[in-house]
Amino acid sequence: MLDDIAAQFRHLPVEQAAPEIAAHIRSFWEPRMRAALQSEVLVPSGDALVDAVVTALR
Amino acid sequence: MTLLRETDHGTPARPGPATVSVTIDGATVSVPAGTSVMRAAKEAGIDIPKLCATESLEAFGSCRLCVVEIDGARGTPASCTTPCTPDMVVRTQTDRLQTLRRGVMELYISDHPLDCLTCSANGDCELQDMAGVTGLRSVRYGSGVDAGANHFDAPTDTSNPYFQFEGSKCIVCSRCVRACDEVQGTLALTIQGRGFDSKVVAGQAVSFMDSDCVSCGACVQACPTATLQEKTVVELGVPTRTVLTTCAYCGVGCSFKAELKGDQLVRMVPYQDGGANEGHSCVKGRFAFGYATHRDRITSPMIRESIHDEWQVVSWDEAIAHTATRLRDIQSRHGQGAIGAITSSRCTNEEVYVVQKMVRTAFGNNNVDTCARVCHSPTGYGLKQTFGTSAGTQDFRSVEEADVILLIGANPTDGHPVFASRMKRRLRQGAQLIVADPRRIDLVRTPHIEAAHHLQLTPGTNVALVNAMAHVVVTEGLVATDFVAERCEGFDGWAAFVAQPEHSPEAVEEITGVPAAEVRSAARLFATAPNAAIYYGLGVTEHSQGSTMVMAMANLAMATGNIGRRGVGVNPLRGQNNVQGSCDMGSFPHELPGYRHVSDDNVRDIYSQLWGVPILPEPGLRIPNMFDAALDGSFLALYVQGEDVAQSDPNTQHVHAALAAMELVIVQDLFLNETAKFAHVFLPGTSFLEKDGTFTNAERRINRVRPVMAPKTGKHEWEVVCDVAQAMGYPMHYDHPSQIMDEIALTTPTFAGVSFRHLDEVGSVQWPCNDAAPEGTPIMHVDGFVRGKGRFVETVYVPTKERTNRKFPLILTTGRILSQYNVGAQTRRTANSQWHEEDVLELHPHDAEVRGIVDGDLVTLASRVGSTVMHAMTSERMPVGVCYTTFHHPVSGANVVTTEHSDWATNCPEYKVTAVQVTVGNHLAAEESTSERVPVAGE
Repeated sequence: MLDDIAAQFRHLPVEQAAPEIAAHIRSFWEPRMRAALQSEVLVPSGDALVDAVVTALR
Repeated sequence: MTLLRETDHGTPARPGPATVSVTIDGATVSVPAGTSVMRAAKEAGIDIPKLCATESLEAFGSCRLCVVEIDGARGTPASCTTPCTPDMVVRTQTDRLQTLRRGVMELYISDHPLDCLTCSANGDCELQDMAGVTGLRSVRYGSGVDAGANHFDAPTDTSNPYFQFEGSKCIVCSRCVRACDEVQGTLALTIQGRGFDSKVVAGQAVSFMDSDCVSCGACVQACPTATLQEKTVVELGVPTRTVLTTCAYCGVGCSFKAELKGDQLVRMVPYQDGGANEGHSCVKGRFAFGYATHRDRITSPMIRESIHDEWQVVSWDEAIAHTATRLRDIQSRHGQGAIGAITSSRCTNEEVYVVQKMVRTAFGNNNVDTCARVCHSPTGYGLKQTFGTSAGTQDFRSVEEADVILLIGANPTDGHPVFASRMKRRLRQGAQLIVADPRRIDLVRTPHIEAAHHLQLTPGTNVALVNAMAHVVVTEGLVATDFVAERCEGFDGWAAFVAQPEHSPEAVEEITGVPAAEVRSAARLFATAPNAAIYYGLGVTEHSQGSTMVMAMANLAMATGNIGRRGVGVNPLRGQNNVQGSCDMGSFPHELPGYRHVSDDNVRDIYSQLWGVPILPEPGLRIPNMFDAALDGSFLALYVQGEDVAQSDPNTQHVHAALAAMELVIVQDLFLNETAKFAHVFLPGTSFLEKDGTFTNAERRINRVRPVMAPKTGKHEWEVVCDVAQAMGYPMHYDHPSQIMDEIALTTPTFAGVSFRHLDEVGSVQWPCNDAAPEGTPIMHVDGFVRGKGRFVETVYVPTKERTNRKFPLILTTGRILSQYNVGAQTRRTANSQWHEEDVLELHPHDAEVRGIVDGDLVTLASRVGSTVMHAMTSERMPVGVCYTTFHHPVSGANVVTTEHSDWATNCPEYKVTAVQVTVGNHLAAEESTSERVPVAGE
């Protein structure tokens, strides 16, 4: 699901997109989903935007 | 109340101030210009006899009963067709007029059966009334066969399941024909022949059932005699009392008079003063209410240990104690977050409110979601991001002032037929229509209406199309610059974004499939209209970019200045009767009532103090997340209020597996639906005829739902929910549903002025309803957006992950049809199934031919996640490469093939784009015969 969200923001610079995506996830994802994201996505993942989001959510 | 007979002024009201004064029978009355003498007389308290005139129709002037004398005018003009002029002096009751009227009545009665005492309309017949008013005592021409040629042998057409046409009683007043033309807009009826041979016929003189008639009931309502009559009235007699209530089908939310004889519901008649429908109806609301007393209704609670066991009928006390014990047991073993609930958009605001309250108090979490998740959740997200509130901007009446209507991903003649009739009336008056839809829906070309543009886009490319329209607006200098400068923010960045060449109509033509010139022309038409309005449906929201598309439409409306007045706006056509209300009531896992996020300390404090328990600040699970968590083993119990997720939600196999993985599924419903096959507790629900509460329709209109009969289950649904919460240890009690609304008003600013008493006084209100707007708010964002400035959002087009390939070369899109509703639980249990007894697969003749499929063939429809079987129907309404079906019948189970792709922001499923293959024959049967499957009780 993170990939789907990230795809909507890839036209923006990472430093602008990552906080927006992180805020969206905090607003709409139940804590166990956020925990699963943290455990499933290993940083660095090779995707700078994804990495920035995961980091911002920590 | 006793039988409610609404005042009939004879001709429609005219707008404007009452500037024309006339004297009628010595009384002076002032009316707006254009008002008929007949209507002015009625407003002065004077009844002029009439037969062909009625308030819902334009004057016709055929019956000649309404003749009057006017000073200075020759002859005796018809009062219905004569407009008032200043200082006009009118006489309505003179010997001359009485003689003329009696003569007219003599002619009518000479060709009318004199069986009043045994006629089904006895006591409810305008012809009978007029015979009395004109003092008719004898007929000089004789009566019956003595009168010579007559129509007494005219046949009766009983083909329609709900009403009959008794030709012998027809007086050829044309009210039915005009109702079909003017009110419904189908034009299915006509007068065939001339003079004595004149008669009403349906279609090309076929039966009503074989004609284009859509059974809206407008003709039945308009008929002044027993000619067009509900079969229930023929069978049961004329009703004697009325209960005003609200339809429980689509999001239009029509007001109805439930007319009863004793406790027997005889008929549902649309209410003239209903704000949403103003006296009109469709085949579902008008006639399809028999499911409420269907033999399949379950009225006693039932429990079972395993879904493979038989159901055991138990008392309410036992069912509630069992439910509470099991829920607490699961929480004790798996944690507080292991249980949750789904609220229903078919239930009242009050019933929904108590479920979310139960979750947030007794359950102690935010795991509550609503079926809006799978339909209009992107509307809530998109409009809140751009405008500041999760609701449509207009009332339905607003469309009467639209000059251009952009209809995207909606098929209102099927899905929202009463609103469609309003829209069609405006289009017949000359408004222009732009349809953006892969299918050639009826509104593209229908009697007296032809869309200026049909943008027949490839499914899944909505955002690219609307961005291209915005590109034209920005690059061709069509922006409403003053509006944008004063009312909006973020315009410059957005304008630079959509002005990029890759968003031009030419650049996206290959993506959308819509010719660039057509897009440019449509965009210019929209942008240059005095008033341009957007109406949309699930063809917008049920996509992987549903939320993006809602924001893209909001951008287009703001850029062209089409927000904040009548005739404009962004208007979601909601699927179910209370989708708006269920969302308003805090059914989303991240929001408390009034769309306030659970992380807001101030809002949580309001509820924590009132409810006496802390409210969690973190969002709960959404419906798809609940299913995923069930399969992960962390979500074990689900309370399902009035929804059939096993049939309606996408990827049926996944949903079934999730439900089967839970330890406890509680279903509160009218019937043992598909979800109940996975349930351990069944709590019988109440139909809308038993409910006492409110629904909120797509225009934010809060309407009263009043009980026509006592709950057949012995308990109201809100009482059951309170009992479960109570049994779980959380005290929750109300003496009456009005107290629930009082609590909603106390805690929710947009509902602050709402109460049962206020609604009973004023009929209905559109929220926000508070001190600033005690009568409600028909049009939103008039002086400013709810969020302050309207926010432009850059909406990047991202293709769906669901792609066609050689194995799955077609795109399936799903929807609904007029006669059935949602999963069909209600309408399948009515005579509506005579129009649609099974789901069929519509596909283009070319796609059928290359597969060896002919019309009516049984075909297998397969996607990456599943397959099903249904009959094929070839149709040039479909573009090549796209097929379509409905999901009204569990037998075909269309959602077996839909996937788990969903809107990125809300998880609303992408029902509208599924890559499929269609092959002739039933391949499923062959597969099933060789596969092992665990049977489920009840299958």
